[in-house]
Amino acid sequence: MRSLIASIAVLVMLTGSASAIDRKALHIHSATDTEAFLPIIKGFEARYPEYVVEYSDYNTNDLYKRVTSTKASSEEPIDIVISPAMDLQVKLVNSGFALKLNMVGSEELPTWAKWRDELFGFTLEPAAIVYNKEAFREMELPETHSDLASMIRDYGEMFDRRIGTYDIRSSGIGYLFATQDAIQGAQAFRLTESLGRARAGLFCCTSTIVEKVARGELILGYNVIGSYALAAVESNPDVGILFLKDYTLAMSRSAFVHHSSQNKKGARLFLEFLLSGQGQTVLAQNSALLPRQYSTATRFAPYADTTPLVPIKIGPALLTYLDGLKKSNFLENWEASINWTNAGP
Amino acid sequence: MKQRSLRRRLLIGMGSAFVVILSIIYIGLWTYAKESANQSYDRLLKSAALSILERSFVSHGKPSVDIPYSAMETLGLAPNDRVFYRVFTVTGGTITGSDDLPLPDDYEPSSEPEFFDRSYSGEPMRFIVQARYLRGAGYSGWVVVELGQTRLARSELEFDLIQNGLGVATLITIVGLIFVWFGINKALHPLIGIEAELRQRDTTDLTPLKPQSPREVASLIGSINGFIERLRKSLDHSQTFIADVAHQTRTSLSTLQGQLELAREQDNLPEMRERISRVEDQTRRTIRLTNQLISHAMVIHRADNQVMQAVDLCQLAKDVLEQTLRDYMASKVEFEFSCVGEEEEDLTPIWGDPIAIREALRNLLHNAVQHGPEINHIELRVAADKGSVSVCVDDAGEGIPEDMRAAALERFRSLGERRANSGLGLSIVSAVAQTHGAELVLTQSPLGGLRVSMRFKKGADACVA
Repeated sequence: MRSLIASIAVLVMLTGSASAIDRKALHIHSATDTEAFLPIIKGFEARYPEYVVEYSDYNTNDLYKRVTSTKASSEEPIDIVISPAMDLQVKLVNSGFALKLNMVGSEELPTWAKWRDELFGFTLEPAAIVYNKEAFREMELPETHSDLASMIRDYGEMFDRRIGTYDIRSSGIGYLFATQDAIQGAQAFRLTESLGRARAGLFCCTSTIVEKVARGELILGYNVIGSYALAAVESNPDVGILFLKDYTLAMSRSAFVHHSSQNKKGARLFLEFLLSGQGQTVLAQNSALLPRQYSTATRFAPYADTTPLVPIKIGPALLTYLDGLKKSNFLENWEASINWTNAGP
Repeated sequence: MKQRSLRRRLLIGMGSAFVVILSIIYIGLWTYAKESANQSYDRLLKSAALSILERSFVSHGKPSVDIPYSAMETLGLAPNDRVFYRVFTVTGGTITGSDDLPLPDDYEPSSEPEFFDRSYSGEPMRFIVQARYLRGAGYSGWVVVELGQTRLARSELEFDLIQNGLGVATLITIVGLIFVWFGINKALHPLIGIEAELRQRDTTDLTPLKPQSPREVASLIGSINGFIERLRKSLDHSQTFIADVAHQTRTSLSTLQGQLELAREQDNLPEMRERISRVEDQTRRTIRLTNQLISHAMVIHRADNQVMQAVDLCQLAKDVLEQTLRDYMASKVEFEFSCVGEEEEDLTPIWGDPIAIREALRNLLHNAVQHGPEINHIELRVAADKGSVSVCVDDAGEGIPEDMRAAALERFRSLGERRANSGLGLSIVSAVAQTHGAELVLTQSPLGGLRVSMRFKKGADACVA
């Protein structure tokens, strides 16, 4: 699912000031909405005009396949790989696709945000619930995962076919959130069963779910990416956003430099820029993404104090649910739960 | 010879010893660090392997496994290490995980864990393989789990252990060297004290050094003080000698002047003659005194300069006797000479200074004449045996009483009444005997007077005083 490839480069060339002839290309392969990432590319190119970024957008699973299946030859070069699916990123790094970087400022990163000096988390994006304000006008919002499961069960008719969540079979980030929910406790399984009972719709992306909630087709979206949702809510006054108070998973969009990058210097500069104060400020102010630290004013700031964030830790533990057997078992169980009524008589 | 600092030598010695110790410590530390790093992280591998094996089961007649999150989390305690795993059966191949992980040669499944090091995926790695025997519906057999982990955490721990250990060892070394430095300074302090005391001393100050506490230094001070004492005595002797010389010369010249004055005042010619002949006597004595002083000084000077050669004592004695005979031609003194060896070949030359020895013999003969009666009999004999050659002078004079013989050897100790004796003769003999290492003995002569015997040892060593 390659979209918008190279078109960004053209766009940047039009807006940029330096001539394209003597600029070195930096190939970023990413599972991040182009629109959300564009401000960072612009910021980088403004700071380092000798580089021109060629940005390719994928979904997380396709990106993983792209990196594992092709050699980073000069014909199809990969310099930087960015994805919110931390487990897939860890698996790529574990397999040896990443280049070791001794970066300025990387020692300040918390342990959950870096691994081996190869993989670096540069955002902290909580899992969120979006809801249709009109539908919930006379209802109290749930505070915990158990509350939500109970509410769906208690108001079966109201929620029937009107909940949306990620199809974790095709979405890497959806799978990450689902497996991490499972690690947090048994309530996740109950919630999945409730979703199944309510015949929840399965979607590819946060944006689709938010759109449907705004239109009233859905009244609740579960485990969407908080950063995108917070941005989308600004233009959809009908949509409310909710972070659960028992725990809220937070994933970190992470980046590594491909070990056979043709432009290691540029790639390293880009990562340094991403993690630097300047890069983080661009993230906070101009992008839909959320910076690693909430010290600067962000869209998440109003919720920061009341939300117990559980950052997902980058590390080999994330490999567990990528185990072939484990994954197929998990998906089997999930399918069995989510399709409980669909598959029933 | 190049002078080297004792302090530096000690410090270099101690420093090298510390370097050797440090090297030994380093080798020990390296082995220890490697072992304990492996032990610590092998535990992680072991507990992860166990927790995976616990979750292996038989499902639908096939072995299966549910990798627990905790297994990978445990391995994640080595924060930066890559992790690979495989669960397999020996017959059915890989159940899950990376199927190209290396195995030790001739691997037999066992419930005991087996560790080995192998390179994989471009990095050195540590592997564990451990098996569990599954019994279930449709399947019975071993299920094996293999885990591999890169060695970053191990290397880091190893490095930390070595670094800390070496840090402590280096600190101890530095502290040790500081103590050594102080110790050396403390030990050398008395020497520096002695050096300072000697340097600050007035040139005329020949008092002994103050005794100091360490035994090793006390004996050094003893030796230095012994030397100072000898130097002081020698200096005293020289001073006395110079004073004596001055006194003797002045007395002699004053007497001469007195005689001359008396002679001038005599109108009577025979009496004047008488006086002038006394002046003559006095002049002869003065000349003799001067000669002896010069001779003494020469003997001492030659002794200092060690001008030694082969000397035929027999011939030398004969020459001296001939010369003495010429001097005392007019006197009624009888001389007798003999030169014999126990065996013929014993009369070999000795090693010595012929001029000094000649001087000594001349003085001996002269003394014998001077101290003897007018009608005297003097014997000069040279006798040789295997080891030595001795020269013996006998006279028929009064001799020297036994209790005064030692004193007679000192300078200006003339025992005779007659003024012709300067008192230097025997002291010259004594000096020559000393520089030649010869034995000088004064005894009663069978002729009635003094017997002086000098025994020279043969061979060069006898000549070293």
